[in-house]
Amino acid sequence: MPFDAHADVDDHILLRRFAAGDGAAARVLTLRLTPRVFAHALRLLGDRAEAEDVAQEAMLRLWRIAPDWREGEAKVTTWLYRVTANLATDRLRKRRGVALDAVPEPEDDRPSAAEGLQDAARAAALQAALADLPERQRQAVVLRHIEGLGNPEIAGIMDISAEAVESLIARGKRALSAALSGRRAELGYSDD
Amino acid sequence: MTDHGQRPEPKEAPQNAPQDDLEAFFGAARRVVPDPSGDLMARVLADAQAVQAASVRLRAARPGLLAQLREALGGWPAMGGLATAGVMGLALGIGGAAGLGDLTAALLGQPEDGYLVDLMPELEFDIAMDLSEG
Repeated sequence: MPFDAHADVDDHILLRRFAAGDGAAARVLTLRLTPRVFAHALRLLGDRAEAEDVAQEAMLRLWRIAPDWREGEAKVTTWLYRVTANLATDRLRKRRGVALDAVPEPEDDRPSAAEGLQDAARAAALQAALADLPERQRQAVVLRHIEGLGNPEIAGIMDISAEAVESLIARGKRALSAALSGRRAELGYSDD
Repeated sequence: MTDHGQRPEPKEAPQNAPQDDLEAFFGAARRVVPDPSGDLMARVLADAQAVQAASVRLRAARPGLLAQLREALGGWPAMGGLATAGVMGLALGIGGAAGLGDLTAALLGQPEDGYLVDLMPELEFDIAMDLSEG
């Protein structure tokens, strides 16, 4: 069965099929969810190898919980964001003590058009600034402004109130703004 | 697979996206989506298939619910006794407690029935003789 035959099938239905032994559901869920989980882990961790390990572990937990998945309690992606963030937090705690400037920035040296290069430079600068934020602020800012989630879903993922989410985002953005203020001209911000 | 791919702006933009100086950075981060390596995708899919295979093996090895219940109760002999008790219970449930009265009467007789047993029939004869002689 071609993958696009599942394009309109919800994640939780595919997960139910996966639990019933459907190999096509396993492939579709892998292709659909792994990139999102990996991207989120990379934005929280800033390290590609660690993000891959976290993404694999988060997906493995999804496979294992599939037979017991209770529909209607949470979106599959919400559950995955939460598990990914928890795994990333564990890694960050183990890593604590490493100098902040030792956290590598994302690779962004792929030859591309000028606009692409500028985007890559800005994304890298943002990633470096995100790495300096407290974990919870970083998680809230990434979920809201990069993953594009609304406050209620973020509150569910982080297990806090919507007001607390708003507060974390506000403080995180103030810190980011201060950290990036000196790089606006360098990154072509004045051209926008 | 490349490390980063240029992606169009996601349809699901952040709600109440701030029109401030950070939006240029957030927009860039949304467009520069880090792609997972082919190795990661292969590892995740291999995990999925391994979990599925283990689940299938577990289902095949595990007896059905009825078989588990039968063994827990002591096998087929116990199931026979259980079935008899069940049928009896069902009959009593349908017939009600009134049927018990009939059963008791059939086994023990009617409660108003009485039996006169003369344990000393010669005593009656002695009294009659005394009266006739007296």
